[in-house]
Amino acid sequence: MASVTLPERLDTSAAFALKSAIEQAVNSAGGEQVVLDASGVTYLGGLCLQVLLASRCPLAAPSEPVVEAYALFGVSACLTEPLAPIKE
Amino acid sequence: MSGDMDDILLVFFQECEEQLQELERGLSALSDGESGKETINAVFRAVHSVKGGAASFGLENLVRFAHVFESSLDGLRSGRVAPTPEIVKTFLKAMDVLSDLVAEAQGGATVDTGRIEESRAELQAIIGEGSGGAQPQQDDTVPADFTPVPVDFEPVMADFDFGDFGFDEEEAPAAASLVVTFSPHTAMYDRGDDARNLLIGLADVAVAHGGTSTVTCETAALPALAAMETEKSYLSWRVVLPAAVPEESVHAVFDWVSDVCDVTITRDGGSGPSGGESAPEAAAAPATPEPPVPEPSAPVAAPLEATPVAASPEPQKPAAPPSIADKIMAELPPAPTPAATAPIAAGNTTARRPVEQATIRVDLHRVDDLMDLVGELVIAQAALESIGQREDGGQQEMIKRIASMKTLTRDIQDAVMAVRAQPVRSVFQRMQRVVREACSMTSKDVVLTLEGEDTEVDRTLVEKLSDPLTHMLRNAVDHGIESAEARIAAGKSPTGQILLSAGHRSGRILITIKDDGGGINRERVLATAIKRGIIAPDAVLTDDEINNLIFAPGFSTAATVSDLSGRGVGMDVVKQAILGLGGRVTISSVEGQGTTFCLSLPLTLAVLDGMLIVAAGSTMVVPVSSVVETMMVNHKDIYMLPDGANVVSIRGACMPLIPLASELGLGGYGSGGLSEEDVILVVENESGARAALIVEDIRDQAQVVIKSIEKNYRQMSGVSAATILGDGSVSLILDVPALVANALGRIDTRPSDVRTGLAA
Repeated sequence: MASVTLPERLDTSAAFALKSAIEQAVNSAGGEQVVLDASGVTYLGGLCLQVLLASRCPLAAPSEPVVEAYALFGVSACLTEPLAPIKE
Repeated sequence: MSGDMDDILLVFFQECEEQLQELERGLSALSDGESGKETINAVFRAVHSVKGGAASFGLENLVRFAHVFESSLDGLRSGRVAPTPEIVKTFLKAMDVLSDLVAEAQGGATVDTGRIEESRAELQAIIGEGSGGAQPQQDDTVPADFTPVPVDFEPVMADFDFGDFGFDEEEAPAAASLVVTFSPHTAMYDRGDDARNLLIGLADVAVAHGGTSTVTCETAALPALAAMETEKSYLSWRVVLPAAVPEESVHAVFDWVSDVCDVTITRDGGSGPSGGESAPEAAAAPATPEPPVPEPSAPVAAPLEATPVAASPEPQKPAAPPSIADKIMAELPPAPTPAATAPIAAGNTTARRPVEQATIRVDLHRVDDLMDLVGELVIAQAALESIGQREDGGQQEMIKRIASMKTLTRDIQDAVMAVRAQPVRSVFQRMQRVVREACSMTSKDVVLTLEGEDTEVDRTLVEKLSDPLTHMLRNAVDHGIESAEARIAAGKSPTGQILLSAGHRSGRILITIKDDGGGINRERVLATAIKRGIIAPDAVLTDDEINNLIFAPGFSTAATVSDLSGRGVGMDVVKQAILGLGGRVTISSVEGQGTTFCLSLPLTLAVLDGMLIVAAGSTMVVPVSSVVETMMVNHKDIYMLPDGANVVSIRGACMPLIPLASELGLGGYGSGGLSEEDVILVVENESGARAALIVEDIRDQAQVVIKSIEKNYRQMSGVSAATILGDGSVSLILDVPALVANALGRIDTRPSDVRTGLAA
């Protein structure tokens, strides 16, 4: 199982890099499930939240700030259960 | 938890501390019969602020209790309830519970639920009396059934008993929650703002009005990862706020982003958050693990208050609940309010402890003063530099500058001290509670009077005072004050009096604890001490020495071991603690009239004004504060006592003569021999006992920096610390009180007895 370690600070400026990192991991994983290691994240902003949600990858060991941020954004459920994949 | 959250939480706890002090002050004023509008409002505000803050951190236990407390206080505020002594007592008790809950949230011991319930019931009874009783009854049952639940579940903002009373004017009339939907434009993120900030703002608004926000995130617009543009905004939110929130405050949140964010604000008709019409809400509300409980059962509560957050769609729809309690049980959700889980989860463990970080609040002008002085210092330094570069040396100028720099240094030191200084009030007010608790345990009636709470002491001291004072006050209540019957028999008022006062006295802080109890029963103390083998059976002790026996390790004066004594912390611990702070404890006791403990503590642990003297050829420091006068004496004023010791008569008062050098074991002197050049320092300890020190010379007076000798070497009798002098040599700071005590013990205790007898 591939894993991406998320950077500490996921603010607006980190969104693009975050998306690239996840995309890269997903591509190289070749169909394998990619897990996002959110244990070290101390800040999560709106744009990065979008990326995390859109990736549909499960979070591993979310740090307290992440749990708080998910609750704040009203997406606590996505902590355990990623969004349903988009029907294409 | 994030550093941010920790910091905010820390501030919250600091504020709680302040609010609790405010509360204590207000309630004391109330119990003194001062029931002015301002006092009551202050008390109400204090509880309200604690509740508001706690709600934003999801400290559920705290919020719920604070709410009941607040409601009762509201009865007082609106004049429905009169502040009778009984009611004030209930409030005081509730305050203790509240501060325990705060401590619990901070990672302290868990508060006994029985106690909370008891106090809660009492509080509810108060408004029950004031408003016809029917409603509180119902309230009693619900929370009571409910209490055990949160323990098993992840703590939540299930503040459904908010508004139970329906008394809160602001909350009762409006029942329509405020629904805010917003979708940020991409431009908002470009601008550096974040939806996060808006949500935090809304949550704050909700909390400010005593409720919580329910957030739902609309993720339907979110494309697959590959298709998304990272800088584009896809998500939108729907936030349900308590009805008490005015629209203006919501507008204020969106003030900065109104042009880059679509916002709609609507009042939800009557049925509360779950009655929403929009798609996301309809989907979310029933599925939420934690639908705002009270709404369906309209009679219970003002729904506006009961809007816990949770917005996670889950595929299970609760059927119409058979009873409120069942419903709550069934629906207590795993998903908490924003920011709720973490604080609680951490708060319930001791993990928070190490985070504890010392901070102080300082008047801004004190910091400004300090800054000014530092500015001066920089100027002085520049001046010195320029003098140093001058060809002619500028000796005279240099000396002048150094003198002014000396003044500056002292001023800076004072300013820094002022920054660190804190009134002892915080500790003193806590003592009210200690006494109250001790009273209820011993069923005695004692009034604690505080004096000099504004006395400022170094912060480190303030904190360390708490434990010793607690023990001493418990002791005073438990052993000092007699039972009501005994008091009446002795012709005293059945209510005991304890005076706790603080004040400055010659560069030290003097704290006295004075009770009007039975005083120390010296015969019993002596008998107990002999029985416990603390002293030899044939020892002959002075009254003072007997008094001091209660500080001996393993000594207990109590005839029977009560709840309060026998906790393994005796007066010896108190004495050790005070000694550790460089302080001293003295007791004076008059049988039948009471006991007075005097704690004398240094103002700071860092610097002292010292007199540099010479004894046996080495320079030593005597704290200026303990020197009464210096003089040369005539041989004919010196008398020898039968045991070989000397006393000197100064203006008719006799005091023991201490040849300092031989006292310290430095030799060079016979038994108190006095040469013509020798100088006498009349020194005094805190209780006013005096002795005369013979020294060879007085060198100077200077400020010296205290270096602990215990830490660096070991404890030495007669020496309290060491310092480094301007020439780099190490010099000892004399422990005058110990020297005096030694001399008095050897020679004659009468002078001190006379004085302390008067003092008592």
